[in-house]
Amino acid sequence: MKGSVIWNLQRYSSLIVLSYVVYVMIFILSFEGEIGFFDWTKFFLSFQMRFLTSIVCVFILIHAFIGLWTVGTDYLTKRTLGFLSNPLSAMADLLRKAYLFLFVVLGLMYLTVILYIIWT
Amino acid sequence: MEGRPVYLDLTKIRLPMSAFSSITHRLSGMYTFFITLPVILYLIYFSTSSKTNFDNLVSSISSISFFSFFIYVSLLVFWYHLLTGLRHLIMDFLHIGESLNTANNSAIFVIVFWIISSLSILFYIYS
Repeated sequence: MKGSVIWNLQRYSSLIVLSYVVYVMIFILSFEGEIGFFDWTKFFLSFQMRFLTSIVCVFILIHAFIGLWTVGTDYLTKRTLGFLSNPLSAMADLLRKAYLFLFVVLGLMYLTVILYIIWT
Repeated sequence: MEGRPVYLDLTKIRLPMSAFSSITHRLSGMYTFFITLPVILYLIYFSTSSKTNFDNLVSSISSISFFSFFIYVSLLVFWYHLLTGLRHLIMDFLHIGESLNTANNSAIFVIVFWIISSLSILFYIYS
């Protein structure tokens, strides 16, 4: 994928997540009186919100993937790990792959859990 | 040549505030992914599964405890990520504040704003 596409995906996905957070915060903060269970679920489990949350979660994962991947390719390299120790540096490629595997699996787990919570 | 650094000694490099803002944006992003997101999933699960769970959750996060403090700190780290991220977006998209001087000042402003707003939020919740 082109670097500029990744760069733009990273930023536009953050705007989508930010809009969602602002929207939910506006509901919570502008609510008259104390929010009870029925007020909250009526809002959060409405079809529109379920749909919106599902879409936004995909964008959160795209945003997180690019960010975490960037951090991995910046710091988990032979060169940067070499500042710490040589044996660690020799394992850099393996460590970076393990780290990538970890956050991809974790991200997919989050997605499964949130979809399960809101749609069942 | 006495005292000349011959290797990269990170403790001898003075980090500009803009660099500090950038690195802590990354760190808070990592924290958000690995800690805050599971916390949010937990909150969503318990606030939507039943009225009893909802009421228990509300009472446990309203009282001062390690548990409620951990939840608020996790959300405030995400709040930090949002603020520093917003600063980056303003620089990337609007090209405002890209010079070394203004970038340093905006970094300081964001950190100070985050500290003051976080303390106010914690005070508001716990008082």
